[in-house]
Amino acid sequence: MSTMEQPNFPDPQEVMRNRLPIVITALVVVSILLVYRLILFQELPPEVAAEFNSLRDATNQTHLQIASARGRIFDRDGQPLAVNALDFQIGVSPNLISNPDEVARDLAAILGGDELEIFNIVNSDVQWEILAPRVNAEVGQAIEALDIPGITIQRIPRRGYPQGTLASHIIGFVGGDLQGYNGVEGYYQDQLSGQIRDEVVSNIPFEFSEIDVPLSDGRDVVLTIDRDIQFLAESELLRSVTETAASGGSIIVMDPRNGDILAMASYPPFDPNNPDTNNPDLLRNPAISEQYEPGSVMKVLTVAGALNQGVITPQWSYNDQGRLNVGGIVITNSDRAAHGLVDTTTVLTQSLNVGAATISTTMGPTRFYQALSDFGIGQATGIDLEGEQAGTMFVPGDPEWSESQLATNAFGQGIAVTPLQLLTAISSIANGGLMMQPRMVYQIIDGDNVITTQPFPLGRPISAETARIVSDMMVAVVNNGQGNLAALPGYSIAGKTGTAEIPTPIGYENNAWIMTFVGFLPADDPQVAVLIKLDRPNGRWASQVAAPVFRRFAERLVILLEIPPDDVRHALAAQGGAVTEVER
Amino acid sequence: MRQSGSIWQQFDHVLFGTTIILIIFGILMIRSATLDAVDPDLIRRVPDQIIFAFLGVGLMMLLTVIDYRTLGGLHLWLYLLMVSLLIIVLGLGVVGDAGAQRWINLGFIRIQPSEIGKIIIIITLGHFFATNYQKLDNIGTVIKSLLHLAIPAGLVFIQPDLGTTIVFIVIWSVMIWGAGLRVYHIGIFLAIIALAAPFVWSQMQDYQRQRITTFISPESDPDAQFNILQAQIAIGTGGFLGKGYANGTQSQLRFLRVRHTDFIYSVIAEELGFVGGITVMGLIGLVIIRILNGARHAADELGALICYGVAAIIFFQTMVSIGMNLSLLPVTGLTLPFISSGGTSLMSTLAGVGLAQSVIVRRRRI
Repeated sequence: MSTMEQPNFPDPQEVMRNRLPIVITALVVVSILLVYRLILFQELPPEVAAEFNSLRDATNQTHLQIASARGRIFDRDGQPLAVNALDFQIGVSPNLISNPDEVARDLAAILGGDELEIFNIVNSDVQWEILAPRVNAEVGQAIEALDIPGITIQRIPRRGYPQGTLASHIIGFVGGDLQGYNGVEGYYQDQLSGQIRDEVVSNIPFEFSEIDVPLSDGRDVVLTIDRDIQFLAESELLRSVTETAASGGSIIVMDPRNGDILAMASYPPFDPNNPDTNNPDLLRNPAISEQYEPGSVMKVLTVAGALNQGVITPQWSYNDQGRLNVGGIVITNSDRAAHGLVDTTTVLTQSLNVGAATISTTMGPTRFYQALSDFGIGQATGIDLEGEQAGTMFVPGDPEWSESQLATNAFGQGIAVTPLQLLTAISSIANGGLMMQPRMVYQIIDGDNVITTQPFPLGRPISAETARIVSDMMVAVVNNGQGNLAALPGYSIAGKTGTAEIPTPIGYENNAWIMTFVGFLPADDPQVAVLIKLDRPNGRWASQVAAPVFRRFAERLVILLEIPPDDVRHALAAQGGAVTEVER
Repeated sequence: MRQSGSIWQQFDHVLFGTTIILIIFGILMIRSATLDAVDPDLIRRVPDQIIFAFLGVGLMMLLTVIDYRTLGGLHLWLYLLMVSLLIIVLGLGVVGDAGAQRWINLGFIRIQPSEIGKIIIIITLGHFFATNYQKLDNIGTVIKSLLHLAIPAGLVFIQPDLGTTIVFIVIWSVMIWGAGLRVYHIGIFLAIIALAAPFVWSQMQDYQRQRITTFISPESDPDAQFNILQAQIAIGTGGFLGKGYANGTQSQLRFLRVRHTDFIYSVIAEELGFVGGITVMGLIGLVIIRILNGARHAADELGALICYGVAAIIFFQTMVSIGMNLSLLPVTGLTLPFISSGGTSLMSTLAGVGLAQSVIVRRRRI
């Protein structure tokens, strides 16, 4: 140690010791500051603490909607129409990837994306990033097989419709919120959905949630639909719409004996696998939701109602002058001709507007509208599909009703029905006067418990006797009347055509019609009733456009349904053999 | 005045023991912060730290045995060595995280000249002030010491490494204060700093400016805000006793970036809570107090100034690192002494403790 060189200078060690307290003071002040700050962090104000906790939870937890498996939908033969598929969501935590170029190359090969783009994500600084929001199971499993730490794979349940657009209007679809919409998916949402539970899932990789309480799965649903008949209906509809350049259409096939809907096709269909990409207007089912003026098919109900009430008899006749003035409106026949003395059957075979109006005015409004109401006109059928409309029937007392409507309604003008409503009403004639409620679901399967729905009669609008008489008249329509192009050799067919103008708020559309044919067969023991409807097809009359479609369709339908020609059937019946389709 | 007898009679066991406890504690926290890591760089952290702990304790003991006055006598060579290393690193250095050239790769080891420089400048500045403290009345002496500082500090600054540059300045400030800087000179310096600040700002690297801007208004940089926010959540949710070792959600989930270095204190406060945070502060505080006690009883001016310098390094880095974790100070990238992962940083801290111990074992007999 050097000694003092300048005795008058203070001891250097003394200086350094004297300076120490200030250094220590600084040390203490800073320490107090740091400790104080640390204490502040401990004593967080409740709202800040709550925010911190929620921030922590937000980064550590994910809120998921855990849904149990949704019930599947089958056709009546057990063919799957709606199932549950899995999609995969691929994400990446870049900070866990040690070889980004290799990972990017492997992923690009499977995902098919741009390798540089994937590399930029994999090599970035973000905590986590989605690489592919939704890929199919094949791609997802291929990526899973790579077994790269840092790649996250999340399974996303997806409703899958293996038949594509087939029966899309019947089935409906499942939205992103896991709710079923339209059709069976919507109507049976409660049965199909099972349970949906909100769950908080930890993001911490090694923290597993407790063993799940299993959610009870949704119930499976078996439809009355026959996939093959549905396919036949859809292809026939597509062909007819294409050939006639129609803007749309529907074909409904129903078993009149129990109300089972065997097929319900509407054009254009939609893709239930991608409901979001469809025009929302297409998602509705026109067969149950579109109200239209049915035209002459309605004459069948008018005649049936009048016969049933005894207002007319089969032998009743009138003198057709080609014109009838009702409430200031002049009714004419579609051919503008006077047909002279004609009977009830001819009203239907020649589809005489004047005849139908004569009958309805004879009935008077009370009995006429009572008859239509008994046929379910103006009321929803109550089919188990979401989105059914009730149709529109004005009655005396409604501000929209006028006296002339009593005449026009008799041949299907100024009154609106849905295709299903019309077919249901006509089916009662096929079923001996008993009107069955149309049904879509045949069975609901809840584990081992199978619930089979029971056919439900909506009512008896007409007697069995009336039904037989009207049925015979409808056979005459096909055999000798305007429905002759619907005739299928070997089979007795009852039917009626309808060519209706299309109302708009400013009157009827020009040169556009909706053409309908409703028929059932075999007429003496009806097993199936069919409605054909084409919107705005080329051509002028349903008898020329819709009737041939029925014939073409029925020709193949009888094969699928194994309905033998009448002579074979009668021969079998004579031998005491089975004559009808095997009852389920 | 040289004392007789073994130097070990004066050995500060408290300083030594506290240092060892802190090193072990640090290794355990790095283990927790890199648990289940996949990144090979992170996997290496714990074994590396253990190896450097042994090397560092060896270096500490070596410097304890070597008389600091011998080192003081080598001041010219040491100064040249420091400046040469700092120049070499600019030419040959390895470019690191932030685009800075801070390491020289010797093949088997990467050395960080600025960390070595922190220790050397304590010795050379100590020698300068020990021989010139009588002339501190003269502003010329002060300016000479500033030039002494400016060469290495400037070389560190252009690497660029703002944090270590500030450490150099702090070492100088504390040592010149201990040497007896006149109070009126301080006023002059404050005036100069105020004038120079705009120029320095313009010379800063973007990331350095960004760190300061982020500190002043964190929302200006979402990424930096993320770090600060995660540190706040980690500490804020740690509670009194913490979530338990290796159980911190923020740190284990890798939400805390550079959690094994810059944000190791957040890991401690989250997993070991308020108690853990205070304990670490207390232990480091004890180390500083023991070193300042060495300054008080040092045998000569050089010894006292060396202790001032070492205490300054440990104190300043601790303050900045913890202050940064507690959102009191900007994110500078300075490590927490003894605790943070990083070989050269641990070595230089232990070398500093060794220097101080060298002074303590040769102190005046009381």
